[in-house]
Amino acid sequence: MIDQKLTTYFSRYKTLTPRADFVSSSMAKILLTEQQQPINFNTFRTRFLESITVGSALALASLMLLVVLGGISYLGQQSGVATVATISPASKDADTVALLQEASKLVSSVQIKEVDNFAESSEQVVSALDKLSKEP
Amino acid sequence: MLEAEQTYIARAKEGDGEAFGVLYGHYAPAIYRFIAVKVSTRQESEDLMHEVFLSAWQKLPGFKEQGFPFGSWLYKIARNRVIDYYRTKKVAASIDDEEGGFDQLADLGAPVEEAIDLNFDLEAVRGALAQLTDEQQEIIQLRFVADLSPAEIAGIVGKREGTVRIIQFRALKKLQEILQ
Repeated sequence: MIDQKLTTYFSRYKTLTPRADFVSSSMAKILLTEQQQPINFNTFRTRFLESITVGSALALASLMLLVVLGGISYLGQQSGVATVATISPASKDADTVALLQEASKLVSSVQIKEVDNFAESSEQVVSALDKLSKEP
Repeated sequence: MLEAEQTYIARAKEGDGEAFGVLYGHYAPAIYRFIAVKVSTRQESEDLMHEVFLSAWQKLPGFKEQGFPFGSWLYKIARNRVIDYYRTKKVAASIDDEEGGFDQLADLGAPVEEAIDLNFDLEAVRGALAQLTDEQQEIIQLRFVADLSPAEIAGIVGKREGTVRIIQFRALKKLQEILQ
């Protein structure tokens, strides 16, 4: 009896069907949509390229520019041609400024010494000429 | 399984609407019944059935059989769609509350007394089924309404065939205890 009830219940459900007009209209709507193509390498490459927007391209270019400028600045420092004009404003730090000041002082002291040497040698020349003029 | 089903599937994968129409016509009643057991109202059952076949049409180019038949693939889509339906709706469907719900099961052409007895029996079975776990209900419906084999059911629900048989046995035993 119990099995009969279950059998009756399930057999009733088996008689259920959707409406024919609904199936027709559903089918028509479905066929108007596009199928999704499976993703392969070519699809992935196309989608990747399409996803790169102008904004992304500009951001990437800016980043590369910063890297290049930073690299040029670094190379300039390494070659010893560092002056206030070539040092990037972004790289100012206490050590660099102190080094520049020390370098300037060094240049000045060398210049003063050269002047002293010149003066000394001039005096020597004058005294030598005096001596010569006084000889018979 | 539909005769020359592989040919229709291959053509439908290439975008042949007529071939897909044959597949739709063959599987629509079974998918509709599978959904109707869970959803109960005709309108919602038909809407969900439409969504199942829409999803199948769109994803068909990527379908590969590999031991998982086309029909089982459709049932899997339908199962997931019903789960999503309840997740979004969060309302237990009631046959008695919805229009065209219970009428779908009753034989309207039968004499009144027979119809009353039939309705009573159907209500009793429906109440008994509601006391099973979701897993047990699903396997009973796939086995006895959709007439799928335990192996096919295992592929749909993601369990081993032996596990499906055990769940089916326990579900039927529980139903017998409830209906006694």
